[in-house]
Amino acid sequence: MSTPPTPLGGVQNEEADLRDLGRALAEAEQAPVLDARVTTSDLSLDEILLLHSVGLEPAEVVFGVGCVSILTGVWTWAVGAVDDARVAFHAALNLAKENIRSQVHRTGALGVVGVEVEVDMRPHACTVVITGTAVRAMSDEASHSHFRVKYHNAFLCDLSARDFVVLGNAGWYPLDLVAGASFVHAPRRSLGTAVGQATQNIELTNFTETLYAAREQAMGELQSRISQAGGTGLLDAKIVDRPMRFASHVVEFVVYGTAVRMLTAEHTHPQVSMVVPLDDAVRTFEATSLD
Amino acid sequence: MSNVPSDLPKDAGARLAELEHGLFTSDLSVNEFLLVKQVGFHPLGLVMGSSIYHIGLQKRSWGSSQELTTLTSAMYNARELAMNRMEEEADQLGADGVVGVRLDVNFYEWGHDSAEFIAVGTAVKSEDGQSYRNSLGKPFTSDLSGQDFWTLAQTGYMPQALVMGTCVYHIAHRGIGQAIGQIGQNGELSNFTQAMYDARELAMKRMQDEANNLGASGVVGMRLEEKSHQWGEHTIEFLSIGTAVAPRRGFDGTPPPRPTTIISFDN
Repeated sequence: MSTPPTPLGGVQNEEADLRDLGRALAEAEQAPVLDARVTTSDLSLDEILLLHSVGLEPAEVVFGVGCVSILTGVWTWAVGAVDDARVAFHAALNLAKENIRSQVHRTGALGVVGVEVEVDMRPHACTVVITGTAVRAMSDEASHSHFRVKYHNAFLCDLSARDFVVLGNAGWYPLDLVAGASFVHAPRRSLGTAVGQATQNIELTNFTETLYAAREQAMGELQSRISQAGGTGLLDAKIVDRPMRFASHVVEFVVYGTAVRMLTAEHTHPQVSMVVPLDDAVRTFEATSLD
Repeated sequence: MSNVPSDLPKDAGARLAELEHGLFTSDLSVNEFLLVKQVGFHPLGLVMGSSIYHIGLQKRSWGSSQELTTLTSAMYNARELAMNRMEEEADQLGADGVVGVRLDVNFYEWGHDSAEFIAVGTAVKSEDGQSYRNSLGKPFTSDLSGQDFWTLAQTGYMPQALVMGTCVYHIAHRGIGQAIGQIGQNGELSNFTQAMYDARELAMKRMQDEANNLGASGVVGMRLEEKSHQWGEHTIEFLSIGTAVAPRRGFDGTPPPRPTTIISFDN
């Protein structure tokens, strides 16, 4: 484990790193393209075949990084929500999304599948890194016949390529990666209250209400972002709900997922059949049993 | 539950109102979403209920096995509070039911002797306009996955409610004389066996009673969990939990599809 960065030095260094990265990317952009059909991807062979079935192919592994500083002192135990942290989280996510979209734009891809999101919240900075595989149409003809959706902006989707294809076949398309977040201080009980409640079964209503309100705020935020992205729903929501690592009195609630929309006239039900696999569990030799 | 407050916070109201206009949120996977749609339901929104509950104290006697009723009722009440709030949210959305319910207990550093009980699931509504609420007129709840929900529907059953029974039990320590007498011997520790039996039976009976009250014909996907939480190893919570099911109204009796046997190439 590297030591956490010092309050300002660390952030400055990361910013310098980002600047270098930006320069390197700009240079790469101007370099002559040797073969436009060369691809890199972190997808499995099965997933690539599935993408081919809808006229798409992987273009390039792309990523976006966003790092935003947080003021000193926001984590001190107080009342209510840590709004600075929430704002920093969204700013970092938006930067990362902008970043990745500009790479997608450069490769001429339609969007990114299998996006992985890493959030690193530290006392003085929030870093969001998103990586995924940009996909493009195999040929103009293929994109017209199979993939009729016209995206104005590159889509981002944290569903796997398999899920992306299955969903697309049912008539639903991913639009954008959206998130809602809240960081909230747990309320304090006075000593008198704590002693009075020591032997009782009782709901701590002020705690319940605080956490409830925080979650609802994050969910509300998520919903308005889905609408902004033009989506009508969100699938496979990932929920992070835990006390902060470095400030256990602050409860972190982050929810993110892919905003989707049905772009065909009606939902197409996939063919479903029940199967019973006849495979045996894979048997392996243990080296220790061979002596 | 008589002491359930109808106290969804203001924010919940605003969020739920937005969901009523066709937007949905859900933690169902893509496969689950497609299967739930295939059964004829559309997701409405992620619903949750939570309660932070202070668990009281009860004296345990070192040498006797007994149920700790104060702790049992705390675990019951707190879970009911969380489940009821989740149902209330689903009700407000006009849902027919909630699928994929997860019921968790979190202990926080700052909450001594208290825990957060949280229930999260996806509210769904039938697309044919028929009501699938349970016999109490409430949205059905179920911890079955989308895949299990589909399979259950093929057999002509529908979930009624997530039913549970819990029992917090203190298991007696062995006396020193007894422990010394048993050194070096193969022997059943019958007082431990008996205590574990009693506690499990109590938990399962309570779950069955809940299912009976609903007029359910059975409980599927049942699990029996044993946890000590923060009480030391001789105090154990036995929780049995499952989905009560009843025959689906208007089911045409089509037998479920015959499964195909396959040998897959995966390893």
